[in-house]
Amino acid sequence: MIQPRHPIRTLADFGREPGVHAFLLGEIDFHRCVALQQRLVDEAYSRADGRIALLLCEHPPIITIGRGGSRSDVQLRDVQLAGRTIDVVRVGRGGGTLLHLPGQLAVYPIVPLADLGWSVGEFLGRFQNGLQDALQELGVAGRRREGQFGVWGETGQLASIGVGVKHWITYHGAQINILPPLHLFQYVVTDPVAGSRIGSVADELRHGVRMAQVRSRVVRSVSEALGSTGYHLFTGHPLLSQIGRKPFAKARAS
Amino acid sequence: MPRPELLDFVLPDLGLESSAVVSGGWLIGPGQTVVEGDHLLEVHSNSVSVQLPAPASGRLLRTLVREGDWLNPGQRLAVIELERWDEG
Repeated sequence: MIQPRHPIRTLADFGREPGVHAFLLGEIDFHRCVALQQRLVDEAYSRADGRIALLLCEHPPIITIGRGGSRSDVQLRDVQLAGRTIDVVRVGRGGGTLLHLPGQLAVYPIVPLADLGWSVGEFLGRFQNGLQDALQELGVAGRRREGQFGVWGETGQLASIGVGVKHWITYHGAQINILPPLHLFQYVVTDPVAGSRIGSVADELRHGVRMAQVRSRVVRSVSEALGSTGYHLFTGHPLLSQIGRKPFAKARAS
Repeated sequence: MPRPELLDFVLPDLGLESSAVVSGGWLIGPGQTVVEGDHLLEVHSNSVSVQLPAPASGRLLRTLVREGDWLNPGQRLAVIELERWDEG
């Protein structure tokens, strides 16, 4: 049991103000987003008020390798996808190798586990429930797999979960395939289970789906799953003005 | 001369019942000073990587697990020699 720094409380105990602040970041460079998450982790550690930050965004093409992945998961020698070279970077989250593309919704909850008295497993279960509930509201019957965190549908894996924890505060999170170019995933092994493939919400529904529609469902469902009866919604984040466009000279683990 | 007080650094229960937890790399080495809250060891399960903080300040006396070892809740990971404040 993680020992909280304060007596165990629920989000409701922190006052009438909703405990989730959701930030819609649009399309943002992956490294810049990780730098923002690290700042938010530091802030959450200092504040110790139980507030949850939830970041939603899309990334330009990049391949990230989590602690469970390896460079051999990437099939191409020079990582050229659709005629352009993309970065391959190692990151400080669990899970394997992921291809990030526009058309995927990245969901990054910054959750102070110690303040809330939650174990890592409890957080992962709540987060997965929130993602699954959001997809269900859209008409997608997502399923789980025993011993794994993520969401699967008839067309394949719909959401990947890979989380990091520092100071008992979560960062990184999930990627949901809304309408990415699925043919590009053939070059990256994202799920070591034989025969698994990558699906998308659009393919599950067999009709168009708007990113804004999915975002609103995800914010609501994930906030509820994380114990909040409401949330504050913001566009952008004020800390981004302090984080450069190229926060790392060369990609490195974070 | 009083004997140094030692503290076991153990793996807390992360609530990951059906997932194996594996030791990653030590973030500091034996003999180094640690401050309470410093990250000492990274551990991984299939969807999560956790940096474990030091429970107290002192000196990392010895490590008991290596990278790649499978771990169980409550398992001893290292021994910390606690910081002593001489009473005047």
